[in-house]
Amino acid sequence: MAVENKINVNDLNLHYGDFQALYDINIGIKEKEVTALIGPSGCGKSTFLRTLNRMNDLIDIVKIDGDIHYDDKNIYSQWDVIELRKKVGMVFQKPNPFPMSIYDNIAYGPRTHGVKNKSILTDIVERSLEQASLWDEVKDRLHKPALGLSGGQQQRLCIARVLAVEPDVVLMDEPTSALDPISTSRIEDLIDELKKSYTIVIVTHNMQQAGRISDKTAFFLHGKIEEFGPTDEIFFNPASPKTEEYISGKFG
Amino acid sequence: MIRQHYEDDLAELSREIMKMGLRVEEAINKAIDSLKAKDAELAQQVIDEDDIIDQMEKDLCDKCALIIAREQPVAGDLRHLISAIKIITDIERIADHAAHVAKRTIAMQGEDFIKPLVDIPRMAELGCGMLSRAITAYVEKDAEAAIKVAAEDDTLDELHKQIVRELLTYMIEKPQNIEGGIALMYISRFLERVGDHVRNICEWVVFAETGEHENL
Repeated sequence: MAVENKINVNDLNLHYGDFQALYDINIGIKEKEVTALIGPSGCGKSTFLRTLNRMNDLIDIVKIDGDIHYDDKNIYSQWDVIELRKKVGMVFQKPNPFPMSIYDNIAYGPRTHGVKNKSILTDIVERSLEQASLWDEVKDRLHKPALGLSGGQQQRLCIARVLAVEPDVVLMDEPTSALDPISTSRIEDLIDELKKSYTIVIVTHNMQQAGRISDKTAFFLHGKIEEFGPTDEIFFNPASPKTEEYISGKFG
Repeated sequence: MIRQHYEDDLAELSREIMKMGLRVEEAINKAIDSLKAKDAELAQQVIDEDDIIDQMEKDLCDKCALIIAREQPVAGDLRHLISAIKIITDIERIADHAAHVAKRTIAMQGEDFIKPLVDIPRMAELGCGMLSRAITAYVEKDAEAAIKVAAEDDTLDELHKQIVRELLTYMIEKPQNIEGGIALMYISRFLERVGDHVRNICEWVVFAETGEHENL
């Protein structure tokens, strides 16, 4: 197994009942890089993203073949799902803070994982909010409801919430599609900062965003990876004409 | 096909580059005609019209910048736009050479040529043909054609060397021929430079198609 790949996917096939959503996916996700997943709606990129921390387990009719290794251990047979989801966190399209205070939103994860000590929790809250570059904006209102924050702040809170449980990989499913341009660029800056410590996989419909923030790009089409490679190559000289048409906005 | 407006913009850009190319061919032809006819008035026209070509280059550069700003092109389209910006500079430089030929014509003040003009008009014809084929290769996205056009530059280089050798014999023979010889040598040199610019254009056509920088 390759050493530097955080996640290795081999011959992954995924069915929703009779419908096959992913075909023969093979991809290596490198440590401390941003990997962008792009492709038209229904191409399987979000399904694939959710597979990486076994979110699809929640759907009964899903059948998965093939291997996914995280840190060289099979995520289905060698990882406990709770432990896996702690290490492989997820940020969703719409900010979804819990209806509780900012502090409790962040402390929720560590508490679930057994952290009881108040000062440790406070440290975690501060560190996580700092990392998500939200600390300065909320430090004076930690005990106010999280739902009172703006959309962009809520999304950074959700990122902080993921970081609080000290993950290794952060999965992001269109994290900025519900945000205005300023909030979007703050999140993009944040992703750039986070990749120093974390491995990031991001689904985005914003082609320019993929071009700006990712190191590698995978183009999904009809449940298959049409092309995967360095983002610079995908956006400047893609190998596949279909990739070219899609990123040029000529279909999709 | 979606993004029709974008496609239209790119097609329009190609048409404008062809138009600019045609104008520059016309400038070279006029410059040579004025030389052959020792027609200072026609030569002056070439010099005056060079401003129009300069303006075309600036307008096309702005057009490319606008398409980039508005459409954020990537991959092949982006490479084509980058190539367009580079190509129009070379086309404009070719027009400068036409103007240089015209200036020499005026400076010669109707003096007789030290030898009959044979190879110089041939060089101009070859240069114009190369320019036209190179621009067609750009518009038709044909890297192979561009590589062939670039190879024709060798003929132009050979013709120039041959002209220089021939003029030298005239000048050695008779020092009174030196002034007229040097004038023709310059003109031959300007036309030889046309080929170098066409070669550059061809390299940018290859870049637009393949993303590779080739030394043609």
